[in-house]
Amino acid sequence: MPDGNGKDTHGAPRLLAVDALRGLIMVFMALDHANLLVAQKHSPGEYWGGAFPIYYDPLAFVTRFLTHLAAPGFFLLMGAGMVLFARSRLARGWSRWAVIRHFLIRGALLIALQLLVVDQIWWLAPAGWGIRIYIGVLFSLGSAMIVGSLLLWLRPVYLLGLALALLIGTELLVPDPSRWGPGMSAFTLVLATPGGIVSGEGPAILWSNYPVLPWLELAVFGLAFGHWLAHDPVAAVRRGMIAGGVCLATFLGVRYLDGFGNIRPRLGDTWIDWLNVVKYPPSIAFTTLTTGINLLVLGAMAQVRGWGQRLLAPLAVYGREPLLFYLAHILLYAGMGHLLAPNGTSLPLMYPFWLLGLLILFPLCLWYGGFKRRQPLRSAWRFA
Amino acid sequence: MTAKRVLILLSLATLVTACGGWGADHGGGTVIMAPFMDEAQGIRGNAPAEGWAERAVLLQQSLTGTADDLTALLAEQTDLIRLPRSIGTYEGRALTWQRYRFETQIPDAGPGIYRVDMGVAQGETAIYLVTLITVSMEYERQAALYESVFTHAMWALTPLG
Repeated sequence: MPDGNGKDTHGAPRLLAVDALRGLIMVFMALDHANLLVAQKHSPGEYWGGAFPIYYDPLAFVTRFLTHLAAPGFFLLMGAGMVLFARSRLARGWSRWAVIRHFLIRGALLIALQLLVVDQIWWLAPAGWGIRIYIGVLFSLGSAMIVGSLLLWLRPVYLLGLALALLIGTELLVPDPSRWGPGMSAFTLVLATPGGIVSGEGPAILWSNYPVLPWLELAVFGLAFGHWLAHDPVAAVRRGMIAGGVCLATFLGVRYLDGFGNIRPRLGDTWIDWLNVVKYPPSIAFTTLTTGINLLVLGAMAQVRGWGQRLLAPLAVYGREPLLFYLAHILLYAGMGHLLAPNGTSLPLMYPFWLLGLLILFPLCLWYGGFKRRQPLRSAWRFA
Repeated sequence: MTAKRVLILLSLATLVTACGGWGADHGGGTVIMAPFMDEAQGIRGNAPAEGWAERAVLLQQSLTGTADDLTALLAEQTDLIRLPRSIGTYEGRALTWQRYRFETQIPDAGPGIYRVDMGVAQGETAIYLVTLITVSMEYERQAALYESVFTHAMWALTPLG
């Protein structure tokens, strides 16, 4: 699994499959946001309460479903990346405290970026935006990074136990769907339960899609996976594939029983209904389905050799620059929406816009990757 | 070299997809269903909340009585004398539905031919109905939407208590 393509100028080997998977889910994330900002066909989210989207068109569903892999993949790979980074820096003489401090700063930076920058950028959405403080994915990733930095040296078995406890525990915290609506405190919204504080008219004061605790489980599982990767990448990938299979089997069981683990029951019995799961917060069905797929894709990518690796390399270009890509792609698709499709597009017509955006982002990521790797290890440029 | 290849591939993909997708009038493909509970009818289920067509009506009801009472009701409100032959069954979460489809005039709704999709389920103490009424020509235009909403409503409808 380790490859020779990804060495930075400081000699740290990178794992091509990990970067390629991150790149793939970033590309899917871009599809979701192109759907929102260019097509203006994005459905309301799959929340624990209130109305729920059903998809009568397979293309609309597949467009949304693919993007489900993104957020859980980010948390998983962030956890794994934290361990690999920590080990790399310890080998270069950093102290444990220096590693923790690095993640505390980086996590705080992600939270600040969400609140000060990304929350403002969303107002550029051509179809409008109505949230003053949005608890989005960067907020939750930053929070998970801060918490995760304190768990870095726990043994994998304890990390797995903690991840499992969070997976089940946070599902138990989800209120009954009949409680959907106003009345939740900001503390609850940020920590545990998606929803919002909405004023009578005008923008919502606060809306939370990514409360910290329900998403932390995947970062913690990622930490365990990172330890496996650091110890023996080949065995780690094998374990990952087994874990992926277990996840998918769990998903099928949970979905079939249609009770605990789904947050709300299936809305029908078509293949789309089976796969159309509650994402906000991530139900056990959502988490096992997406993580199962992500782990199996990672395993498949790790087996690739020769020309296959050359195919993965472009994905890895995106995958090595997630923060730059994240900030740039929202601006880019919002700009495209305003300039080229102010009234939205059909869903098929959105796809070329999505691809065009990727085309524009590729050289940017390629250039920034080269620039970043030439910076000193402690440079702030390496945070992005 | 890799960068060059990916640029070429993405350019080609953009071109091909653009040619294929241009001009296609494709809706959002989504309708939003909201849970409801109707204590008077003794039912709960899901009903369309957003993305729903204006020229369609979805009714979810319960009827105390027998199949004869249902036929009498239909005869009163439409030009049907009796229910046509069932076109199949559908297993919902709580009920087994007989599906019917027919076209009819509905005097109270004004002139024109209406298409009616009806699901009828026999409960322990009542008959349950899911009825989708659309203008026939409208149905052809948005068949996937109507079919999906109709079956999802049947799937979710559950007697209370």
